[in-house]
Amino acid sequence: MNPAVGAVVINFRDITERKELEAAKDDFLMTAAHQLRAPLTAMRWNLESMFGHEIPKGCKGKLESMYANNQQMIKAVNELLDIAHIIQGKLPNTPEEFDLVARIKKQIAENEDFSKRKKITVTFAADRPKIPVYIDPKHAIDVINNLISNAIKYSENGSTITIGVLTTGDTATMTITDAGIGIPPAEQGKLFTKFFRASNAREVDAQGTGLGLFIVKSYVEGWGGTVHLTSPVTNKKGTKIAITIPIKKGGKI
Amino acid sequence: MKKILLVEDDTTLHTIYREALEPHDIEVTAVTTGKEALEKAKSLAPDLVILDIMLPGGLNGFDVAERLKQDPATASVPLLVLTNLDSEKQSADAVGAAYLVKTNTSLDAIVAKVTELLHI
Repeated sequence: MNPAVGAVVINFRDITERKELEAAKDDFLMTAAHQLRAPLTAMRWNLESMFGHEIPKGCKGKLESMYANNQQMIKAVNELLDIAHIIQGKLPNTPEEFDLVARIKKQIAENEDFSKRKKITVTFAADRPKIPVYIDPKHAIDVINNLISNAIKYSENGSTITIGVLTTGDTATMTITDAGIGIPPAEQGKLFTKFFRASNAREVDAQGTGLGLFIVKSYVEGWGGTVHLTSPVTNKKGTKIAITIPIKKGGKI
Repeated sequence: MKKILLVEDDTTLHTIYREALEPHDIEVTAVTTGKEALEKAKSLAPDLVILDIMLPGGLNGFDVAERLKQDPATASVPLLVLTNLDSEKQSADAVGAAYLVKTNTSLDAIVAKVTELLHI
């Protein structure tokens, strides 16, 4: 046998097996996440129906803790499902026209409990009162929420987070700047890959899935946009993330 | 009293739906397969059908929805698809059904949606 041809055959088999393994892994991820959703739903609704009744002394805090854990698991399962969909190219995508400025304001308001708990000030400014975009609003909420909640999570108590939107002719750039722990330069290349968490992020919060920024990048690039990271911003501290996305041409908003 | 037909194979959820909806003067009749759903939809004449999608026995929730829409006796009954599959909004739109993803919806939000669909 010609040894060179033998080597080629082995390589082909290797690639095929690897692809099959990858596909099996993605299928497993999707099935596991779907199978987890049903019991998590039952838990969620059972707990919610309990909150409508009188709760014996000593149980309220424990039930609330169970509910928080349930919400955390639902979030993780949803993120796993999202990445399984992204990898398989089967992401549900229902674009709609909406106002980006109003959407950002709404997500800032929804994170207010979290920011107030840490006495963090969130400022917002946009160079136009309304900016029409044409993307799936669910994905937009995921992106904006991920960036705002990350900024709050990794910022010190009492600090300020600055959110801004600047437009050019046909794009809008949203920047989120915090004065938090920053991202070690050596780890920045891996930041947007799935399951990756920066070493200093793990010290602040042991629970993160490492999926949020992978989802952010996948969505934004799917809209024909880009994600740009700067860290540290000043004084060895802080992170600035800028996402640039297309403005809807001839938007009615 | 309004009548709801609940098509859901997870029987632990039957009790949860009942307890949440009965205080709103809504009677819940639950079945677990598509075949039972089609039979009950005729005999019960419900004001709303709540449909899960992944059902045992060969007929899924969308098969049931299509058949209910084709039958003049049940064509006008409003449908609410309540599933754990989050890629089915377009299929739900196609059969004229309201659509919610179970895991991402609070019990209060489900009650609100049901009472809205029943105009109560």
